[in-house]
Amino acid sequence: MIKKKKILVIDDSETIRLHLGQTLRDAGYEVLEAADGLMGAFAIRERAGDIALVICDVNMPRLDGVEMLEILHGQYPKLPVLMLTSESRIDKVERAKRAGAKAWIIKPFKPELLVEAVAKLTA
Amino acid sequence: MKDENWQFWRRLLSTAAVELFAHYGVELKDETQWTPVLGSGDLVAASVYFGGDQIRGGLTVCAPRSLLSRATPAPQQASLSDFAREIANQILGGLQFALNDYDIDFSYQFTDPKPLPSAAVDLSIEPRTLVLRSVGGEVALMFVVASSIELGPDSIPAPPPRPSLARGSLIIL
Repeated sequence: MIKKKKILVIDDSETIRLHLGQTLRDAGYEVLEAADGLMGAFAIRERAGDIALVICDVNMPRLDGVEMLEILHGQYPKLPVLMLTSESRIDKVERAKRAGAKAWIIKPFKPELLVEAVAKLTA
Repeated sequence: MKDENWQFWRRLLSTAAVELFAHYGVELKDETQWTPVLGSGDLVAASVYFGGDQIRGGLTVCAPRSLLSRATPAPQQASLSDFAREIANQILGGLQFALNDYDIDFSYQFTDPKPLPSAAVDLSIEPRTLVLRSVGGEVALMFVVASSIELGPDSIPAPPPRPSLARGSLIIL
């Protein structure tokens, strides 16, 4: 039996988590969820070796996605991260890149584009 | 908010909302010659807040439950108030994207925004409402902004515009 790749989705919106979950499961991935940067950081620390990709929102309460990456990047430099967000400020994009983000999609997103991006980043 | 300032914000809000709802399969129309009837029926509302050096404010989105239920990309069990908040967030994202051209930025606020400098020119916290129409009902955007700069219909983008990202496309970093 082929082991499914695990994707960690970090977003404070339940709508986005459920939408991404359904889209990714339909595309053959296993999906883990976290509701903000803090929960995401805990999930990465617990299961980093198990996760093929992190999809992360930027603007979230408690700990935002870029701050979370800045805290974790040194420890998990090989873990690919795709930022999926409404945020479009160049300074945020550059900070995320320095902190290890590999790609950025501005919401709203088309599911097929997302699946294509996930396939590229987990290849 | 002065009328001329509202015209500026109204245009940006209308464009952002119409484009966003189209993405979710709802055709919204911005028709000025028509009387809104919002207020009856089962409505869902959600608010988001923003703040920067030059502007701060909030946006509330209010729409019929039936319209949101048809538009949401999430499975049935998802909360529609969460989807309304996500819609408000993404409209704010559209506003942030458009304001790049005017060299104005803001961040999303989850706590009380910082006060503006005392030189603020438009601190009247008078909300304005834009109501957009669709076959499935009306969508109201209640917007309040305080700014330390004048923004009106004649405001021109700052030259040269800052580089911006394409919405909805994949950007490899």
